[in-house]
Amino acid sequence: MNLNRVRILVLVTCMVVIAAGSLIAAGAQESSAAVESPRGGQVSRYNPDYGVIPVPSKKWRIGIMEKSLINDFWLDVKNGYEQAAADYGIEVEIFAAPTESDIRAQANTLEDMLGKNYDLLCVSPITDSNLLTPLAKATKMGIPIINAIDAHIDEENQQKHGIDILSLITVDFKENTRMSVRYIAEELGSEGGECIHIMGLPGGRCAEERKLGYEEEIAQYPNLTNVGVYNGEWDRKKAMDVAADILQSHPNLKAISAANDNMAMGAYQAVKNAGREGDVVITGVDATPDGISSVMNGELDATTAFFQYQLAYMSIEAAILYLEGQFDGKPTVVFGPQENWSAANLESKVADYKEMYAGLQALE
Amino acid sequence: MRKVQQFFQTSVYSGPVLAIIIFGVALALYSPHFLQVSNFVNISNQIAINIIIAVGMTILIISGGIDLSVGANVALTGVLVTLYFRGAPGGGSVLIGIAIGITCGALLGLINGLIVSVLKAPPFIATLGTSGVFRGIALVLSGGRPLMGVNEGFIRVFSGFVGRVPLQFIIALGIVLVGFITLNHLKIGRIAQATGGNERCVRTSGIRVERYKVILYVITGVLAAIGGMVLTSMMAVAEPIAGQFYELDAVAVVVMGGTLMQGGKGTVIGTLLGAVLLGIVRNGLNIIGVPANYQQLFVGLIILIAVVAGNRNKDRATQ
Amino acid sequence: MGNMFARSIQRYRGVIATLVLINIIFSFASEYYMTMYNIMNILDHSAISIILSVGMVFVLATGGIDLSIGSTLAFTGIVAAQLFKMQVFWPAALVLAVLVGMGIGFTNGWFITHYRLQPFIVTLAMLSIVRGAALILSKGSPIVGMPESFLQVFSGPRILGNGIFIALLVAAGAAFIIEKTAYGRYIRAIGGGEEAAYVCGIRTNRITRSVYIIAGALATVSSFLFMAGMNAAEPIAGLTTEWMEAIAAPIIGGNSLDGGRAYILGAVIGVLILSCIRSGLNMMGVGQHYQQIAIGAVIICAVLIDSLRKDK
Repeated sequence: MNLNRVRILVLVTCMVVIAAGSLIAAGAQESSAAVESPRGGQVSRYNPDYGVIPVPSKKWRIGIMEKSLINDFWLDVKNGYEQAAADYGIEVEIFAAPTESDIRAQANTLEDMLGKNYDLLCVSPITDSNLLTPLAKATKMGIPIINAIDAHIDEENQQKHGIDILSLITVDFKENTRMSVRYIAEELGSEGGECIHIMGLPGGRCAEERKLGYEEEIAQYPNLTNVGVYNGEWDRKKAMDVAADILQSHPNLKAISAANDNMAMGAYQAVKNAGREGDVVITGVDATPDGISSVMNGELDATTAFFQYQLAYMSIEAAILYLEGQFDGKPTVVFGPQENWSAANLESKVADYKEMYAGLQALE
Repeated sequence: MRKVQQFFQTSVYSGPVLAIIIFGVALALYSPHFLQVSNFVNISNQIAINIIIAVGMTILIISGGIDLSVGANVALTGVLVTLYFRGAPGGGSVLIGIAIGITCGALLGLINGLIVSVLKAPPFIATLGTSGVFRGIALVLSGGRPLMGVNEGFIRVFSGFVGRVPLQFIIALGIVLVGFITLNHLKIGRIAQATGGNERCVRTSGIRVERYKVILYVITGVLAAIGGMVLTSMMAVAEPIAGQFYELDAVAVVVMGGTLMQGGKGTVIGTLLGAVLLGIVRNGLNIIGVPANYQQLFVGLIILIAVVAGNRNKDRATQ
Repeated sequence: MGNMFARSIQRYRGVIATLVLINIIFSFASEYYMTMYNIMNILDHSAISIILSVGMVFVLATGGIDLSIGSTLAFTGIVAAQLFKMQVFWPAALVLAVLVGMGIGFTNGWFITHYRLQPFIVTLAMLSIVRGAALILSKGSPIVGMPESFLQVFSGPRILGNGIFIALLVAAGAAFIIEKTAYGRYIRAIGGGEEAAYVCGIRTNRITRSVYIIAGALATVSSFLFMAGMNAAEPIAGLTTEWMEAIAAPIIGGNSLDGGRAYILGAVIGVLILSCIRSGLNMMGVGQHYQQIAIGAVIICAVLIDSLRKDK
């Protein structure tokens, strides 16, 4: 057979597949934001301070920029946005960076989004600075912005770059690991012992803050020794390798605080391989469905939950309030609650929150 | 003694061996925790997957090819196998799971092989393209989340301990042995070496190079799939983002082991030594407690030193 | 001149056709695609990749590869930002940063030529070393606060956002060097066969080192655009996408990893193809996961088109 003819055939097939696939993918996304039961006219679901959320006067279009869509945490956030949009009968379009370290791709995608005339933007920047330029552009174009979850665009940067942030809705990341350390201190009691922290990819806001939170809090407990902070790059296998090495060099290690559940579960595998199961306290952050079932099975000891679904839902409620001209006097800075979930309280917590987390429902 | 001297002057393995000895001694002097059986268990556990993938990569690079999609292959295989286990009634059958994994790897390798050899696309960039495609498919199929629910029997097949030796390391050594035999004693191995050395020459002698190239990509794909299954079994979970940069790790140890990127020359044993060296470096930095931000710098420096050390002897041997 | 133009069209017709086709498809697929705003966006987003790709074309021409440019981008950015903080006059800071970038390139080139090492492994090691250095120097967090006049120069509010203007200037300069100077012939000769080049009296080691220095310098220039665009220097800049694109784009544009070819215009068009696809898929609202598949498939298509053309 003629080689060129084969090549052209492959080429044409490839292109048809890309074109068809893109159209299907685009179509599939739009249909997911269908209206089910308009919710407007009732008190805010998760934030009493917001009061009554009005019925949207039109089908507002809100553009959303998440950090990534490659783990349970950000999928929970996505669920929160989509559920709120469905409840209130508005439209959301969700974008994200391909990975949580791709700072320029996130900035470029946000600039692309500015061309789509959204009524409002909800953004979760990877670092404090990577979205400054597109956000300044958005303000110039008159598009209101909500800084939802993750890195903060602080006052100084807002003024310097001419960015109007309508509201900041997030959590204190330092507190995530402070809670872990407090739990570890309680578990280890007066005896105390050696602890490590496995951090996420260095350079990102979230990873660095959780590391700081751990370091600051552990300094308050004289009987806890910080053996060091190691890099797990948010990766389960890397966290496992690191934990195995530290168990080797510090045979008396008593506790591992990981910067998320995923890495905590990797560390658990290492502890198990070393035959130290039950002997080392392991904590995670995020309360992802896998993390929670891991606590249920007695593998992880605790995780810090901070209700990402709620934060996303609240962001849409704040957006509606603003777009309907009723945001005056409402809180502009919302730091969501966080809780330590461990075997002691897990069952009641899951029962309380099951309704809202798609992930938790899947635990059944 | 003279034999030892001779080894270090002429052997292609002298570079990585020398580096392993130097770092090993330094670490052993620095930390009492390094030179212990439990630590070697750790290291062998950590490097198993890299060895499995790098063996395929070695033969491929020797033949003048390269496959940058192995990392994505690891992820996609894990996701597919786990989806089967989750979907099948009663957790599915282990054998069918393995069959799915191997088939997936072979198929992905076949795609790479066809694009590179039949359609004559440059392998580096073509497999960079397929890497994106495979990774994307893994993300779409899993919905972007880690998949739990791996069959217990499957986990026992690919990971665990035989005595104190990690099963996955034994699998890796078995694959090294198979790779060694393939490269040195089978026709396909000799053709791979000849093709990497001078493709035109092989072609003129009437051998259908294309066919063998496709087979080499299939082998690499299958080995990456085995790596994916080992990873899935070790972690008891399949992640669509697993295996990121495994291709770079694999190529790094292949080259540290003395294989030429241009093809033609290289050894599977060298690759094994390269993987051991990289494993010791990563382990050692953690054991002596080097802070997170400094680790990347040291890993890079040591790779550089190791290839320089390995290369000096190679020059002397050829001069 | 007419002859050269015709030759360019001939040489690049595959990629030009791809670019046009993609634009036609996206114009029909999304109403937001073919707008002035979006076209500016696409050009703006291409600037950094164009500069990196141009540097890569030099390296590829000699048969080498440079994986470390993404890390160089991050590190030199941090260096410049630290110098800004020390109140160094900013153009002087930029010059120093470029020297640092050239130094990294020289180190790459020196290891490759002096020890006869393979570029892939040397620059892979350097990727790790320089990234580590960037994280150490910045203590892991972005450095915010760029001088006003620096921002004016590198992301000024002109019609063609200054980034793309600088990028095209760099590309034009590079094309001139490659097409019209002896140096341009030398690097291609080395890619064609180093020994033959050496025998012909080309100082191959010196020339080989120089291409890595050029790549390092251009990575630094692109870091200026990066900093101006982000308004900050980020230690995790250029972690993956940037350097992979910088290798993919020149090859889409007809350059070869085997060396011997140096097609600057092809690299520029390659970058534009990738930028158009990303933007178009965003405009259509295609999910991130599907985008990865599409971009991978397009890279494969592009190399197929290239191999089609080569056979004729």
